Amino acid sequence: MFIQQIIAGVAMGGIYGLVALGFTLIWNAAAVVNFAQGEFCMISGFLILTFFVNWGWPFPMAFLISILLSGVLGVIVERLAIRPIRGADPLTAIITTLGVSIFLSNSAKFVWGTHPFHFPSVFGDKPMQMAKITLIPQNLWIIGIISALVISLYFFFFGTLTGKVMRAVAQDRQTASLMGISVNRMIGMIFGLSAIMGGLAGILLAPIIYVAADIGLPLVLKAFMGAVIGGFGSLPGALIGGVVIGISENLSAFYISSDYKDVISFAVLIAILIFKPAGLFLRK
Amino acid sequence: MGRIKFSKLGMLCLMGVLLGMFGTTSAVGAADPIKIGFVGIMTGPNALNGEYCSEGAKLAVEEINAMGGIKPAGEAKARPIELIAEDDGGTPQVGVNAINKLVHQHKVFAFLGPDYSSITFPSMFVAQQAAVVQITSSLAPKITAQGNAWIFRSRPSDVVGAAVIVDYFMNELKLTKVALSYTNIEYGISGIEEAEKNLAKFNIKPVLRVSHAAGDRDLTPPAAKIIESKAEGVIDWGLQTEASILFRQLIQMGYKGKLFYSSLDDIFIGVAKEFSEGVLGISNYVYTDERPAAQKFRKAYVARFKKEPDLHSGAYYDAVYILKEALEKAGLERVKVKDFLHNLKGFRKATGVFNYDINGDCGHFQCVTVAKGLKTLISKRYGY
Repeated sequence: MFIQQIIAGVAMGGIYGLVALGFTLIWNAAAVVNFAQGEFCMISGFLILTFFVNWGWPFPMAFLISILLSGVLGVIVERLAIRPIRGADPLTAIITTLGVSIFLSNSAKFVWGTHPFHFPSVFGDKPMQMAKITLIPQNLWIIGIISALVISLYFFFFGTLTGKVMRAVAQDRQTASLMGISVNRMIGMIFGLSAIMGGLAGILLAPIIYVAADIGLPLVLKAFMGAVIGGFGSLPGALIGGVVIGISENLSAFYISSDYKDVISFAVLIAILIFKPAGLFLRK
Repeated sequence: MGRIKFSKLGMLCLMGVLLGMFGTTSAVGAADPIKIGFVGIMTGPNALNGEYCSEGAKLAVEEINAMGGIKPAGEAKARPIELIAEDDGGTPQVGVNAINKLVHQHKVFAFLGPDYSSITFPSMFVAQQAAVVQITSSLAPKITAQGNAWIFRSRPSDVVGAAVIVDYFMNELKLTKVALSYTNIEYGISGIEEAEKNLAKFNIKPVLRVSHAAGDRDLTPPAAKIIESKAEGVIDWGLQTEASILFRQLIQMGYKGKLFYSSLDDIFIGVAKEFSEGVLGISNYVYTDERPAAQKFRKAYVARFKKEPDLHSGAYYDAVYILKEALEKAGLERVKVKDFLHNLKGFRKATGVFNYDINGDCGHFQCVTVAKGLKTLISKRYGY
């Protein structure tokens, strides 16, 4: 059971980490804490529900289009809500992204309704037995897809010109601008990429927690905790921090009680910050 | 010229005001509606629950008004019902405000709801202090155990439900190893405590008692604990989405035991889909019930709302008719209506037979249901 809980925790934590990755990318590039990141997950869940379940599109097509549309949404949010307030007081940015989150959540309720929707598991429901461990296909697919994404992101950021330019903007916007890089365009692309990551998280989550308009904010809070644990601004830290949250939730729920899992997750956060105030992967 | 214009304008305004006053006065005299309040979940993630509740009440009000309204005892003329709805948002804070609005601002004669025990329990003092009859569909046993003379149920409490399902587990299914699971809210806690009390009557101790928080969406740990306990059956008491996720994860992890959920309804089935197959439940009403009164209600509901009713719609439909009965027999004095309801026996309507007691409990009619082919069917009746 311990191994089983770890695997489930890694899967769920991987999703928190994916959301936290998008969160951190935006922070690094635009110095904005994007509380609407969870709503990209929510919207992509509803999009794939509409395309795949309601309209009967083939899953690969529905998946690709949902992800792309999430990216487009990210670009639109940046252009309309974030760019005008860039450089403003951090509190203004927080309120703005919270407002975007509320707007997207309520728009989804208006379009699709307030109740949760069942989403079929496309990865199969039949569990696999390995020794005494029961493996659920969905969890294995989540871990596999996120691992593949992380490797792809590494090659993108370090092996492609666009990726290097994005890193340059994230490192120092002013210098990047002086070097002739269009900072606005890059930040828009980073928002699009973050929204795509959020969209992927939403699609992976849909068969587990169903599709509902209220999943965004709780997700982003867990992702925020993961980003802080990993070191706010560190990309590997965001992913690892999310996994730490996922594992601590699962183990505490199994060995202690589900009622205390949030309490214990916050206790883990506080404990880590006491010993490593900048998080696991950042120096103070 | 300006002074004349102003005088003409002033006269016109005065005439409008006077007409309005007289118009209103004459309307009050002729057909002053009886205001009945409804408080339910109109917004938020569980608004579908409130939709079913309000539709049941609306249907009853429309039927009664189409028949001419209610003729309260001692009154010469029948009066229409005006249903005034307020949103409790699914939370106690909003619920208390909504009920205060109904009672003190709208000055309703009586009101229906809430459905959630976690909202009813902390807010029922409002109706008690204002001496207003409240008919709730909430199930937590302690709601009618506080000595509040103004609260009544429109469906049997979990005291009945828990007794029924434990009896079914023990006598029909012959299970001895039972795990208890619940959502950590008033409804879940009180329901599972009743289940545990009833198991103790059979000298059975649950092999596991595990909870999850409302809003929890990853229930792998409680599911794993249930499997580890080797329980032959699971009794879950709580919210629909959480229950459907728990059962899905149990089945995906290979669990083969019997699953029971306390609120097996269309909302649960709509979310759980194929994972609802074979799940047992308790309900005082399912739309597949063949009793004539149940089918009459079902036909009217489908014609009006183009969908099947659920147990919440039935509860509120009957609640309006219970109030109608009380008003027609006891008149427009709230104390007399309250006393009448405490003595109301053998009142048959869509969902069952109402026999009220001094606490406001409405009887023991309950069914064990089973989900088959995305429908809820009756497996066994109790107390009809």
